Amino acid sequence: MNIEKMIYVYLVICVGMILFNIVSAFLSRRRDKRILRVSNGFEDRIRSELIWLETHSAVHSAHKNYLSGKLKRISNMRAFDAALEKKHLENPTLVRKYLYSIGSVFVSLSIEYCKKDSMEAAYFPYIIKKYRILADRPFDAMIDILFRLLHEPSIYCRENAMQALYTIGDASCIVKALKIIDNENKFYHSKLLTDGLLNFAGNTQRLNAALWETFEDFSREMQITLLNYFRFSSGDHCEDILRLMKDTSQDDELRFACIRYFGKYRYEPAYEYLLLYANSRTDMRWEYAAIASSVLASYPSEKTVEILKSNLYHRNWHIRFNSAQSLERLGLTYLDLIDVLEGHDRYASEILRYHFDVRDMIRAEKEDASIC
Amino acid sequence: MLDTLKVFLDWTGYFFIAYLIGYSTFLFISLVVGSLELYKLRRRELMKNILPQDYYVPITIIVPAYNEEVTVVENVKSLLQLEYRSYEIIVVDDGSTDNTSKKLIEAFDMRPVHCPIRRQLPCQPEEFVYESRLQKVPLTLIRKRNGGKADALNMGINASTFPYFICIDADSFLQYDSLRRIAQPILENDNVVAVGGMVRISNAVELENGRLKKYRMPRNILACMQVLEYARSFLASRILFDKFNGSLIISGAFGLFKKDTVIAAGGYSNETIGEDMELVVKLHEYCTMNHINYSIRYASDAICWTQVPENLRDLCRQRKRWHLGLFQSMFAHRKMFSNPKFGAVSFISYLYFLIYELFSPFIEIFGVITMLLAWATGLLHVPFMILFFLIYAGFSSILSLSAFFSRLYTTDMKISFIDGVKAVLLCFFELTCLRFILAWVRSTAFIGYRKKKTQWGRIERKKIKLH
Repeated sequence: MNIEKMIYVYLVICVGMILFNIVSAFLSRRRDKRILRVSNGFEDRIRSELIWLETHSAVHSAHKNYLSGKLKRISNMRAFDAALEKKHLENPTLVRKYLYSIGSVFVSLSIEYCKKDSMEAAYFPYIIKKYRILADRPFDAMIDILFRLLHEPSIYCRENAMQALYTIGDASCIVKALKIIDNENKFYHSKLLTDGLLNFAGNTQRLNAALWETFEDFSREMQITLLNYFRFSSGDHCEDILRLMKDTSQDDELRFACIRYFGKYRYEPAYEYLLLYANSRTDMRWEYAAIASSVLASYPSEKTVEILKSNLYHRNWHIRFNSAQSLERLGLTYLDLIDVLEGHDRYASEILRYHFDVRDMIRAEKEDASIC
Repeated sequence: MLDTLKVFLDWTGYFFIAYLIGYSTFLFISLVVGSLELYKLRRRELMKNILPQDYYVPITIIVPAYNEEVTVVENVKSLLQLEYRSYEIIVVDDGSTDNTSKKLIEAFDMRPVHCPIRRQLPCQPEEFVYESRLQKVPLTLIRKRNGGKADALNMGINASTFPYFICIDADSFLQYDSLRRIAQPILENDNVVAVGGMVRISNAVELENGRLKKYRMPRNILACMQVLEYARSFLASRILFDKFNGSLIISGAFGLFKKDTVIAAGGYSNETIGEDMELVVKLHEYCTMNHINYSIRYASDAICWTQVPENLRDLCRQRKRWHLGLFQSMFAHRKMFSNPKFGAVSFISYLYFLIYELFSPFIEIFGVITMLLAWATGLLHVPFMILFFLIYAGFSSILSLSAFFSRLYTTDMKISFIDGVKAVLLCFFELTCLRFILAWVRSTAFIGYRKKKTQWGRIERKKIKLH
């Protein structure tokens, strides 16, 4: 009979689960309605403040007090977000002025949100980023809170904080933030950082200079992330990156990132080293030859063609593939490479033929499309 | 003699009590964890805990196809509508006897190329390769000699150019944001080697540009009951397994894998029918034995719509196939059984699949036979048996309903009143009738079992409504 009782207990809990699901569905619907109602209320208040702001420099202090009290609740913040979004679409300039005027409200709120669990705390930097609240008026207290959020275990919270920091446009803030991330023993995908840095709202040259200045202070992983960022950001660092690439004491992955950089930014002094790497040696990892073969597509010369052609016969598939791709990118034709195409090595001719086929196919597709 | 029988029946009774308590406890825990997780996920969306949408991990979508002329073009069209920037599509025609390749070539104006394919995994040779760069993303068609689904998938992996690949059935459709969502665990953690997506039943849905336009429970009762079954599996137990990195199965209809790891582990096996499960079990084994820090995740918000059988014959054939696949996978990796090296995967996941999936049809049929034996010898306490059966059926029905209703937390899903009523009415039948029919089917799966290693599972296909 104990078994029956146990199953009855389970049954009761299951019924409870169903009720929980149904009740929470109703509550969620009610919450949505409430948010809409509160949002309409915020919209009215914001509208009247915006009218006031057309002739005055600041919003009413009563409005700020009202917001300081109300926006502590996350549901109200969501409603405020919805209302502000509408107004922002209607008159972005005036809303910027409004946000500038209520900046101090966000300072007090930042302390409140920092105390919440990381899921709710992540909403605050999201708002900061969305309305670029710190772009015009970078409050130190709020920036400190954003730095603090970078220690949170939730990647969403950290990423939202980083996104908010990018909007400030202050290079020193980004350097500091990256150091915090680097020192934390938590995984942060390098792609998020690389692409995030490209969203930096300030002077990119200044950011790059600041990052390069402190480059040695970062871990190897972060250095690779920064090199990837530089590759998409600016070709101003060729000299420094060449030095890194030549330095055999450096980590291989770091040097690979350097080689890729010179594929994007053609730099003559790097050419001889690229040729050297493309000429695969047994004492070096095959990736050097594979990456260099790909990068050489930006360095047209007889020597390049010669090395790439010889790499077509390499036993490593990646080296062959990248060399064939580069030869095609260099604009060579079937006739230029007839010796390979008609040669004895089936692998070399097939891989080359494929890249030429694709080029012809794209050309034909374009022609067909233009006729249509 | 009667005394011996009585002792036997007593022990059988104890066994079944332990068995049912174990099962109901598992279902119960998985339901609670699943519901809470879905609730958390919904809250996370509302709190804007999302990674920016434009950070893309390059992905190859592999579509193995065999005699799929009815659905393959629509399937590829739907894949081209996905909201993701960095991906390619490779359709592998596994020697179809219908016009699968022809339909694709004509529909997408594809052209022949001499594409060298790097054979990192063994597979049958290609007959021709067509490509098109006219579409949003590169589209490749590889026609190869027939070798089975696993062989076709291995060919797709060999031909892929990106570090991650997704396998998707040719009769399935991905929701517009499914690639972004299934790739999210990779951005969260770099040790992720595989991610399973949620598979939902598409028999009565309408999709518009990859977005759900109209959802209702299928009219077909059998499909309807499978909705409840899928809810139990995808909205409950898989979420629980995900909590301790214990997923042993990623549906062949929709899963993402890290290419390097899959190749190192040996790719899909041609020796098993259930190549999807076998690969996941193999990844567990490979990573554990090689001391690789890994995780296999489940993304319950990455949605794939798939067709389920609407007639009993197709359903039975499908379940026989699944059961044989389960047996082959578990037998091939039997070293995971009670092996402390594998931790929770061995002591929870493997054990669960062994007892409650692989052996369950035999246990259930054994139970029915024992009951008949007890009844014949007058040793059956009928009122208690009926009470116990009703409690069990009621409990299981409520669990199914709880799993079904927990989909309320998923972003796009609303349950209409009629669908709710349908679920309530059908859950009891699903557990009392369909379950026993399928138990019988699964227990007889081994009859006439030969190694049909290159056979494709066939169900009757219908065109899905895509706009």
